[in-house]
Amino acid sequence: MRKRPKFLTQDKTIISQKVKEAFSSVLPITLIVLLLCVTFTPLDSGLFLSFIVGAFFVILGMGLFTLGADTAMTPIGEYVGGSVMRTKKLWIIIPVCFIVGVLITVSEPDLQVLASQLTKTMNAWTLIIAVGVGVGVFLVIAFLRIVFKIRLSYLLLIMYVAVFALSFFVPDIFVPLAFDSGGVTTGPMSVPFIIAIGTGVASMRSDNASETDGFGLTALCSIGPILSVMILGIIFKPETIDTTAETLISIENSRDLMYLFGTNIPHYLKEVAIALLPIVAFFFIFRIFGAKLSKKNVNRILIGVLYTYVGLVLFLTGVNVGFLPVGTTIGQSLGSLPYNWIVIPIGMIIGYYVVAAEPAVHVLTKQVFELTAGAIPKKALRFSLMIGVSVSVGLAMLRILFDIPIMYFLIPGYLTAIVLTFVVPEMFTAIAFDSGGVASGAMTASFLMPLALGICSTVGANVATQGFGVVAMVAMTPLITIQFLGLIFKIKSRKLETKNNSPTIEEIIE
Amino acid sequence: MKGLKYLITITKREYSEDYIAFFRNHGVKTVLSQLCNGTATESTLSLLGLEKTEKVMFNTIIPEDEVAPLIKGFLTEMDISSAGNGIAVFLPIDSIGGASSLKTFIGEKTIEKKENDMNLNESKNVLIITIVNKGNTDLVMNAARGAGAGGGTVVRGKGTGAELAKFFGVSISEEKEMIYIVSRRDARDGIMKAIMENAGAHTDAHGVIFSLPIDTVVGLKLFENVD
Repeated sequence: MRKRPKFLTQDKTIISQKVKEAFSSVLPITLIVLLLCVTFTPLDSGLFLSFIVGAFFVILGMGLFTLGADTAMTPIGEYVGGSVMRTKKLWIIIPVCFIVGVLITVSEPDLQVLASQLTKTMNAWTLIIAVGVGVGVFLVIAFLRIVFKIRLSYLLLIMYVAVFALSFFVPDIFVPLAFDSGGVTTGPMSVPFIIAIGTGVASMRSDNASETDGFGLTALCSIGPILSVMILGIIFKPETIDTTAETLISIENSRDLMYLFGTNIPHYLKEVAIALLPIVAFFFIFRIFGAKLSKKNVNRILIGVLYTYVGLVLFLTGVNVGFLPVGTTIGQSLGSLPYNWIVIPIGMIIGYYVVAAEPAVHVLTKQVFELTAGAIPKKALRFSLMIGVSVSVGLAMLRILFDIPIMYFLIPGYLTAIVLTFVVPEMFTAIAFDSGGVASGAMTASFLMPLALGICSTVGANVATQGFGVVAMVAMTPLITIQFLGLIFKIKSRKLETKNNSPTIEEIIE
Repeated sequence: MKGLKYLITITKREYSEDYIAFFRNHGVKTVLSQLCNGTATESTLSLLGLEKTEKVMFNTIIPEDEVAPLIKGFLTEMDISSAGNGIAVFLPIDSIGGASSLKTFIGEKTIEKKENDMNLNESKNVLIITIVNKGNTDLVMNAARGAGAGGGTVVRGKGTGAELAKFFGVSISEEKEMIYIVSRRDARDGIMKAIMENAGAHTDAHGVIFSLPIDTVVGLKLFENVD
């Protein structure tokens, strides 16, 4: 007889499930880094300790964040998306989408980091506003696409042709950064929210495109920032990008460690609060003219907001205090090895596991699972993402070592992705282009990027042209791997279809 | 339609794959799975968003001679009678749309048509289905619990009505929730009346409600004790 499923645990809560999920997604990358620390890249014990503590923060933060995403972020997003569409008035949809897009982007913590790298050439707020407007405009485009039933492939084709055409007028050092900004600005707060807006719209439609159209919002929203930053590059013609890495604080003892985390937490408390504020505000504004919600539901959502807040603060503190300096240090030591080609395989392994620790990935895989009623399993999607990111980090490392311009990868990559959009089912196109923004989140920005910058600094590569661009690569490869998954899906489901061609009308059997 | 049964199985979502394997082992041809949620029971846990409510519903059509082996399997292999593990209800089927549909459901098997099919009024249990506007499940469940119902299962759906509201290319439907409650026949009237009173058509919930006869039910400890 088949073995009995494990029914022993009659746990009524989801706590153990969430903890397990968070553990299994963060543990692999932690173990790999630990392994590197005892082999190729010895770390000083203070840094090592802060990494361990950081990993704990990340695990705890991840668990709380995904819980909060389920109970607050997703319901709010769905609520906002559904309410906007239900108004059935373009003069409401357009300005509301624009404002939602601008505000969630402007409050995204990752954008502040990007802006700080350009303070020498332009005012930080110029960049922030420009990127916000970029996302706002594209969120409007994404909604109008749904309303007027424009195929996503055509829009993506037009937009990416525009992006690449524009890139020829942009100073070379600015191109990698522009592509990075597309991935970075769609960060841990805005991505789950935008995805949920999409599902909210999908849940109130009854036509056959409703599931497909549930995705694709993030895909279009990632293009906005690329275009905005490129236009800024053309206007300001920057000659340098500030790439000075933050000086590492040495940790002598346990008190220093405590001090380091203690001084960083308030910073993230403030940042995450700013990021969450507009979302909570939208929720209350929409309650005025949206569908009625019971008091219990509202309370549950507010408690969920609290989980999201605490979770994201812990996650960002852990990543930035624990992971970022370790990324830089490992990068530097790997780059200085005589056999530094080893960064390619190591990068690929790190890339493979790091994407699982990206909070937004959990939100996407879950939404896909629910919207397709389980037809696309979480595992398949996650595996495609992991392969994708693994390849992209490998290529990024190759680029650093051999000084290859980023366009040599981006042009063929996006060309393949766009061609695939006309072959695979539209649903996979939408999910694939959404994952681009999803995969390149907080983990990529504060671990993969420092790793690449660290390697750059020791192998003597140009940081602006070679070091940046990691995020862009991470945002690109899932477009291909997930559409491949769609291709496999299409071929397999075609095989399963047994056609019954007999036109005879059968009798009803009673 | 004698000789065929409609089997609805509801269980925790994490057991999905175990159940799919279980159905495959028992030769069930077509399994349609659908995501659903259990209704909250503990108010504090549910308020904190910590209660595990994700469930999955399997819809299958099986020949009548498979009922007994399946029930045995549910009880021994899947341990369905332990609290919270799930519930399986067998419902009668009226007719089937042609031989090819039948083949899809049960394969090459032939079905025996027994004449001693039970009278519908004799069924001891009923499946009460309530359709309300989204967000009113708690209202329905509170009313139902007050009248002695155990738990329920919610499936999200879309109401399309007779006329579709259109906005350019987008057809806009109402979001609905379907609540499945299994109850004893003698408790049926109380539960249905309570729901009609609190969430019926005259309320904002716009509830519509009906019940189906159940042949057999396994799982849900409540019923084991009563029989």
